[in-house]
Amino acid sequence: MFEIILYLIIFCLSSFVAYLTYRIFFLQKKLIESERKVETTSKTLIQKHIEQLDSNERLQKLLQTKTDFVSIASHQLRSPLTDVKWGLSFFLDRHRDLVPEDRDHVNQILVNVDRMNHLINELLDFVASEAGTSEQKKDLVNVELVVRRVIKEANNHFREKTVTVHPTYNYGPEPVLIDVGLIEIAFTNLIHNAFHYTPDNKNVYILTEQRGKQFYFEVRDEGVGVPKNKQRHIFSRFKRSPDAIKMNSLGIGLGLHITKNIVDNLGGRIGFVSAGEGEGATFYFYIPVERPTTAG
Amino acid sequence: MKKSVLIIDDDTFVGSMAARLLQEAEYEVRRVDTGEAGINEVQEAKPDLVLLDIGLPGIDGYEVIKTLKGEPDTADVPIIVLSNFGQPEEMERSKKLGAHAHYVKANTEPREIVNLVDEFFASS
Repeated sequence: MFEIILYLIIFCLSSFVAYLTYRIFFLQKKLIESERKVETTSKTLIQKHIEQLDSNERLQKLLQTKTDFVSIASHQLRSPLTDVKWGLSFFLDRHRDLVPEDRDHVNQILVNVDRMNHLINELLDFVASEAGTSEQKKDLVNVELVVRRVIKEANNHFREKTVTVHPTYNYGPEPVLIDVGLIEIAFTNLIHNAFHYTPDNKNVYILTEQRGKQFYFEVRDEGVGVPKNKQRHIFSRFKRSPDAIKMNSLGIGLGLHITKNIVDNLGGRIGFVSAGEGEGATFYFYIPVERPTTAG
Repeated sequence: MKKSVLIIDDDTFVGSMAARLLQEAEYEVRRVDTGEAGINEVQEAKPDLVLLDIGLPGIDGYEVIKTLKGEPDTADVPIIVLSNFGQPEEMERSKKLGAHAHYVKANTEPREIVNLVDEFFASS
């Protein structure tokens, strides 16, 4: 009897051991399977990561190539123009006794050289304005100083016009983080436009302000205004009113489009108000900016 | 005492015009057409102002600024860049290296060069 019980116990125990062995074997198999899965997944992840690094590097290289190309191309285009422009203005300065007709001819060449140069500058601005967030630089700048510089440069550029600029600086000098090259193009375009389209003896009012967390910039002029039927397309490429073309024959109608591109790419909003033809215009934009010194 | 200006520019046409106009405006002008020659000239003659091009054969204008600003003897010599390289980042680069200003040649006229040199000396 005792033997039978012993056998039974041994049988039960061996069955249990067999069962355990089976479970262990099964678990092991599962473990190996999941290990394999983990391995393949991590392999894919590593692969993807490498690919991403690769494409980031490629993108960076591509952007660098673009920058280099634009830089070299603009330099090579400008250099011969400089020789023509400098040579002719030098010649005109030296030969004050030219017959008026001859002087007009030379002046006409100079106007065309300037037009060519203007085109190069506008195309460069256009390329810059397309910069996506990854290409933008963050510079710590006093934006009001940039506005002052642009106004000074514009006064010099339009020294033959008698337009008076009245700036109001309410934003303050604390620096902000922004791509200074881009914001400078935006200021320049709006301020130059105001000069272009404002007749002599009239005024241009410029305002900088903090609005919420945004930097606000406004240029109000007493110029030709924007005809009602042209207002919808004002920021499109190559759209200019007949009055605008009359007052600024050099432009090609990219300035406002470029400015909108820049403001959009900086995460801001651009707009304008004009009561219509001959009523002047106000162009403004808001840009969200970080002010590191006042942020904390 | 005449103020002295050194022009470093390999475009001899533009360089010579600027030189003539500045001489007529009573400046003492010297002209060289490479970066190396420019550095030597600054070390020897210590001009009151350098007008510097960026695209030069051999070492470029940025290197010239770096070298001159890096040596105690020449660090004080003011430099105005006058070049047809003029992308915003290029103008920033000149200024960060220590140039007083950066003008795009094609956007200026010869007589403006005299104005900006006059202005520089009037304000310094």
